[in-house]
Amino acid sequence: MLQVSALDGGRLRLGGIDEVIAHCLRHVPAILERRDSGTARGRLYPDGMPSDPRRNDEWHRLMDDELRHLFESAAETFQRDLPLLDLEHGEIVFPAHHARAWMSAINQARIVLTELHGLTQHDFERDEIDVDSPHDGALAIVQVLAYVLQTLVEAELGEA
Amino acid sequence: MTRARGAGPAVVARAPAAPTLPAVAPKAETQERTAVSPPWNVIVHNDPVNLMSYVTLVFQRVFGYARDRAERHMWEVHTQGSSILWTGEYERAEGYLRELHASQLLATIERAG
Repeated sequence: MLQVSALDGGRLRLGGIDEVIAHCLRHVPAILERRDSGTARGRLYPDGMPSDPRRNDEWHRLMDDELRHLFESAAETFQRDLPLLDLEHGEIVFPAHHARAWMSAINQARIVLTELHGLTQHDFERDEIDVDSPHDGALAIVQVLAYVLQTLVEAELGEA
Repeated sequence: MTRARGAGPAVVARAPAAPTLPAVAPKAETQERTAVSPPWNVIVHNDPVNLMSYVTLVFQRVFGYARDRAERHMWEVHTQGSSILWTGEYERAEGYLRELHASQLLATIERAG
């Protein structure tokens, strides 16, 4: 079972990582390279003011580059921490102030896979998956990453 | 009043100048500002991928809401399809929108009413 614990020196320990979770975490950077593909781009850089086309165009002009910078920065932080993953002990220890970057990178990856594979609410409510299906393979990764994200969020909400 | 009137001709001479300023200017300006700056709603929309707990956390972070209020809005998004998180001046609404998009939530702003 995944667990987050605070360590001395402003560090967090994410424990309970098995091979499946490690595989999914290591897959995140490759998923994020597809950030600009297909509908993923539209989902990560959504309209802000759809009822006002002029303001909406201005919003995209001003914000898309800034969002891209924020997303890439979070992904880089996450990727730099990944080599700290110790599969033998099933844990990774990283600076606590990186937690938000981790949440951002993991959620971005979930969104990109959801968009690129057309995952729906119905998919997320299914109990079984077809291991030979790329669609269901993506669903499995999204769900595993949801478990990691949920653990990080609950740790932060517990402190709020 | 009595002292101003007795302060001498210079004061009296300047006194008529005051009405040359449009007496209704401040009110007119306020009305104009109100007319071009109606309140804006910050709206968050449901999507299948964002976790309920994550959405709650983002609402707490972005708006500073207590957990129960953040959860009420999250449930409204989940069950009604959207929730108005905040209403007010455009610049602040835009700032909230930026934070919500940075957190990968589906959010828009639109004029209230």
